[in-house]
Amino acid sequence: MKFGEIFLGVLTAMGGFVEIGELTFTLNAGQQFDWALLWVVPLGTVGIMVYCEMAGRVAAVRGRPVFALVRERTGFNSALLTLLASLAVNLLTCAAEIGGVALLLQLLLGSPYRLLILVTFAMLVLVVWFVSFKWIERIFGLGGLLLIVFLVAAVYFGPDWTHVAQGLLPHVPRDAGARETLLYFFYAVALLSSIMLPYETYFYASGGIEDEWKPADVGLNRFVVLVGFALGGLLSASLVGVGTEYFAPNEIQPQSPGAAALGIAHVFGPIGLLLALGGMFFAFGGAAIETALSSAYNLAQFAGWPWGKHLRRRHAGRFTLSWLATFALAAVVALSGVNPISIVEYSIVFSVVILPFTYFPVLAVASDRTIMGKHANGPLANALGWFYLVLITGAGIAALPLLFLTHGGRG
Amino acid sequence: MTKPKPFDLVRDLLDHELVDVDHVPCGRVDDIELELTPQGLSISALLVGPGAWSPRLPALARMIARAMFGRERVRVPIDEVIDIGDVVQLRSRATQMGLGILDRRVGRWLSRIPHA
Amino acid sequence: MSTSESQRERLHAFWQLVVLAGITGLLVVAAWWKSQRPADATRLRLPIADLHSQAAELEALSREGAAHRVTARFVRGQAMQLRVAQRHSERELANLHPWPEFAAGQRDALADAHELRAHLEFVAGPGGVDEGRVQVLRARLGQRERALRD
Repeated sequence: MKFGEIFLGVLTAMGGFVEIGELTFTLNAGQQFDWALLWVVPLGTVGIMVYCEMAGRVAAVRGRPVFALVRERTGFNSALLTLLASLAVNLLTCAAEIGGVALLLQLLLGSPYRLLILVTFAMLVLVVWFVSFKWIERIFGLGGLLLIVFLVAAVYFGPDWTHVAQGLLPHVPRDAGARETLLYFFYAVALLSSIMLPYETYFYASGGIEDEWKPADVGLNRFVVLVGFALGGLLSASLVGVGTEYFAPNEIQPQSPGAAALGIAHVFGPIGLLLALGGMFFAFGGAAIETALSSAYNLAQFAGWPWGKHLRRRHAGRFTLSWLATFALAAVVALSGVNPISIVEYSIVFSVVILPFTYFPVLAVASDRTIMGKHANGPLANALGWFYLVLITGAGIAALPLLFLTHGGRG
Repeated sequence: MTKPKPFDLVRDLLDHELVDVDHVPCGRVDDIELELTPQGLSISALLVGPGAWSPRLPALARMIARAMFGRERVRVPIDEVIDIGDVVQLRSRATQMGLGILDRRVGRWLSRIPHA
Repeated sequence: MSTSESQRERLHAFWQLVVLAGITGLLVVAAWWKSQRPADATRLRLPIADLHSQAAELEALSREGAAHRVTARFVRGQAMQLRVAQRHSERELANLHPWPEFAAGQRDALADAHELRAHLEFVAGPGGVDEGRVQVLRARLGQRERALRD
C-alpha cells in the first residue's frame, strides 16, 4: 500500500462527501434549529462508513459490486423495483447537481441559466469520456476540498461550544410546538438520507472494482472509509455551524449555491467567496458524474452487461450509452427550470425509502462466512449493520408522511 | 459415502451473472429450463433474455415488457457451463452463443466516436 | 402459451391496470381537492416565509457588496437568481385563495412582494439598493410570517 495512494484516497473521500442536497439541508438545518440537529451528522457519517466499508470489502474480496448482490440476493422483481427507484433518484440528483453547477457558472459568467445547463452537460460528458476513472476521482475529490473554507468559517464564527456539545445529543428543541417538532424530524430524516445517499455506496463499490481492489486492499478500504468519511462528516458538521452562526441571525434560508457562499464571503471576503464557489463547483460536478456513472453501473450490473470506465467504450456499449443517457435526461430535467434545490429535496426523501433494499443485500453477503471467509463481518460490523438497517427502515417509513405533513419540508 | 451438498437453484444459480470463456459478462440467468429424466429433475439449459425474465413479472408489467423488449430469449445448454460460483462460467465465447449481441452493436456504433 | 393462459394473463393485467389507475386517480383527485381548498394560515405563511428569506438575503447581499466582501459581478448574478426565486414566490402567493380572514394579509404581503421585486431590479443600477428600506421590508415580512405561525 503506497502512502500516496492512501493519502489521496482519504482526501478524495473527504472532498467528495458533500453534494448540493446535503449542503442545502445542513445549512438550513443549522438555520432553523441551531445546533440541535448536529447529532444526525455523526450518526449518518458512521452509517455510510459502515455500509461503504462492507460494500468495498465485498468488492475487494469477491469482486462483486452492490447491484449484482441486490439481484442475486433479493430476486428479480425486488431488484427491478430497486433499480427503477435508484435510477429515478439518481436522475433527479444528477439534474440537481447539473442545475447547481449552472447556477455557479451564472454567478461567474452572467450568461443565461439554460445555456449554462447545456454547457455543464457538455463539460461533464467530455470529462467522463476523455478522463480516466482515477483522475476523475482525484480532480473532483481534491477540488471539493476547497469546501474546507466552510470548516474554517464555522470555527472562526466562534460558536458556543456548550451548545455544540449539546447538539451531539438527540433532543427536540424545548420550546418546539407540534409544527416545529414535525419539521425537526423531517430535517433529521432528510439529513440522514442526504449523508447516506445510495449512489455513494453503489459508486464506491464499483469504483473499488474499477481500481482492481484485491483482498489485500481490505485494509486500505477500511482506512479510506474511516478517515476520509470522518473528515467529510466534519465538513458536514461545519455546514450546520455556518447555518447557525450566520444564516440564522440574518434570517436567511439559503436556497442557492450563491446564498450558501454569502456566509463565507462575510468572514473571508472575495478570496473566501471564490474558495466556496470553487469547492461547490467541484463537489456538485463530482456528484453529477457519480450519479450518472452509478446509474450506468446499476443498470449494467442488474442486466449482466460488461461495465466499467476501464473498458474501452466499444467493449461496454450499453454501459456507455447508459451514463450518456443519464446525463442527457438530467439536463432535460434541469432545463425545465425547476429550482435544483427543490429537485434534490424530493430525491433525497425518496432515496431513504429505497435505502433498505440497497443495504440489506450488502449486509447479507458481507456477513456470510461461506462467501467472505475470514473477511466476513465481525460482531461489531454486524451489530452496526443491523442497527443502521433498522434505523433507515424506520426513516424510510417516516419519510413520506413527514414530507406531506411539513408541506415538502417548508414548515 | 459423503452426502452430496444440496444445490439451491434459486440462491446459487438463478439471477447469477454469466461470463464467457474470456470472462466477459454476457447476461444473467433469467430462467432455468428443467427436464424430467428417469433419475429425476435435472437442469437442461439456462435461459437469457426478455423472453426468459418477462414471465417472472406481474401480468401488467409482463405485457409492457414484451411490448418494449420483445420475447427473444437465448437458450444456453447446460453443457456450456463449466463452473457455477459467484458467476456462471461458460466454455464458449458470447458471440458463439448469441449473447451480448446488442452490446456489440452499440459498441460498434460508439467506436465511430473519437477516443472510444 | 395456450389461449386460456393468454386470456388469464390479459384478465390479470386488466385488473392490475384498474387498481393502478384507481390509486393514481385517487391521488390526483386528493391533490386537486387540496389545491381548491381555501388557503389557511399555514399555506399562506409558506410563500411569505420565502419572501422574508429573500428580502434578508438581498439585505445581506447589498451589505457584503458595499463592504467589498463580494464582487459586483457576484452581486448582479446572485440578484438575478433571487429575482427568479422572488417571481416564483410572488406567483405562488398570488395564486392562493385564502379564507376571508386572511385576504387582507395576502394583499399586504403581495404589496411587499412587489416592493421586493422593485428593489431587486435596482441592484444592478447605480447607487444600488436602499438598504434601509430593504431592512424595513425584511422586518415587515418577518412579522407577517410570525403572525401566521402563531
